[in-house]
Amino acid sequence: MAAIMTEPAVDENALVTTAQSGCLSSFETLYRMHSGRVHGLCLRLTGNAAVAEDATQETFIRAWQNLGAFRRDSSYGSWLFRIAVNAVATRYRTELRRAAWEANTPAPPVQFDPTLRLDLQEAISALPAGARAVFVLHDVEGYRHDEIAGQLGVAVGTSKAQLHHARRLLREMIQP
Amino acid sequence: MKCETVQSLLDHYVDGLLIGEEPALVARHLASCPDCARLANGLREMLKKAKALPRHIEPRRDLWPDIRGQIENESKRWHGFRYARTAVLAIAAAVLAILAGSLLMRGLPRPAETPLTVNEAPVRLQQEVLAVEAEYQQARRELVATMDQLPNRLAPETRTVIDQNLAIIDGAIQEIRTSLEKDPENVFLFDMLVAEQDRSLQLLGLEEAITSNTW
Repeated sequence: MAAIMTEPAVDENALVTTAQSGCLSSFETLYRMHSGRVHGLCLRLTGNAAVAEDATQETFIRAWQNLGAFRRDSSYGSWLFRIAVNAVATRYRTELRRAAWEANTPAPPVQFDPTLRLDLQEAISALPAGARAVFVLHDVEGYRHDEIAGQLGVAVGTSKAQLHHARRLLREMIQP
Repeated sequence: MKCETVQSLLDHYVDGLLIGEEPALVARHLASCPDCARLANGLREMLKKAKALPRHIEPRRDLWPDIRGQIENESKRWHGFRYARTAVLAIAAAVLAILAGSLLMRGLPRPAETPLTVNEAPVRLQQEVLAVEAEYQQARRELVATMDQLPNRLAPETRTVIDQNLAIIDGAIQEIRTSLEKDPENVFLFDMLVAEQDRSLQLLGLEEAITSNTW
C-alpha cells in the first residue's frame, strides 16, 4: 500500500518562538504562511493594490517590532490581522471619522454608472472607505460590530449604520 | 408591517439580530410581498457571495525583500543609535575620570560588545526605552554623586541658571515619558526622550566641570 505523502506540518508556535529570539528566517517562513491572507484583507479594506501592498509590508514590519509583546492570547494569525486592520485604519482614520461617517449624517453619494453592473469585488472596491471597511470586516471576515468599532475607533452604532449603507450601495451596484 | 418598515429591518433580519415578534412579522410580510422578498433574497445572495470571496490574495510581487530590507535598516539604525548614546555616556564618564584621576578608563562605559544584526533579537522600542532610562539614571546618579563630593565653586547665579535649565529639561523628559506611556511604539517620542536625556547629562557634566574648575 502506497504511503500517503503529506507535507511536514509546520509548527507555527515553534516558528514564533524562534522568531521572537531574533531568527529572521523563521519570521520569513511566518511571512510566507500569512502574506496572502494579510494582503487579501488589506486589499479588500483599501480597494487599492499599491496601498494594500504598503499596508501588508507595514503589518509585517510592525509584527517584527512587536513580536516580543505577542503573548499567544490569540493565534498568531489573529494577532497579525489586528495589526493589519490597525495599519489600514491608521491610513484612513481621518476619512473614517469625518462627519459623513457619523450615523445620523447622510453619507456622500457614490458615483457609479447605473447601467454598468459590477461584480461584488469591484463593487466593494468602489465603496467609500468607511462603508467598505465595515462591510469587509463584518460580512467577509465575520467580525462583530463591537469588535469592528474597537478596531476602527468608532461607535458601535456607527459601524451598524455604515454596514447598512454599504449593503444598500452594493445592492444598487451589483443587482439588476 | 409596511414595506418601508420591513426594508429598513432587512439587514438585522438576515443577520438574525431582530428580537421579540419582529422576526415573525418580517417573515410574514416577506411571504406575501414579492418585492420585499426579492430584496431579502438578493441580500442573502450577496452575503453568500461575500462569504465565499477568496481570502488568500497574494501580492503582485514578493514583498519579503522590502520587508527584510526595512528590518535590516532599522537594526543598523538602532546599532548606530546605541553607539552614539554610548559615546555621550563615555564623554560624561570621561569628565568623571579626569576629575578622579585614578578612575581614568576604569569607569568608562564601553560600546556594545557586538553590533546588532538581523539575526540577533529584534529591537523592540519598549525594551530600548527601559534600557536608555536605566543608562540615563545611572549616569545621572554618578554625575550628581561626584558633584556632591566636590567643593562648590560656582557663583550662585550661575548655579541657578544651570538648575533652571535642568528643570526645564527634566520637565520635557517627564512629558515625553508620559506621552510614551500612552504611545509606547512612537519612535519619534523615543528619539526625543533620548535627545533630552543627553542634554541633561551634558548640562550636568558641564556643571560638574565648572564646579571642579576643570573646564
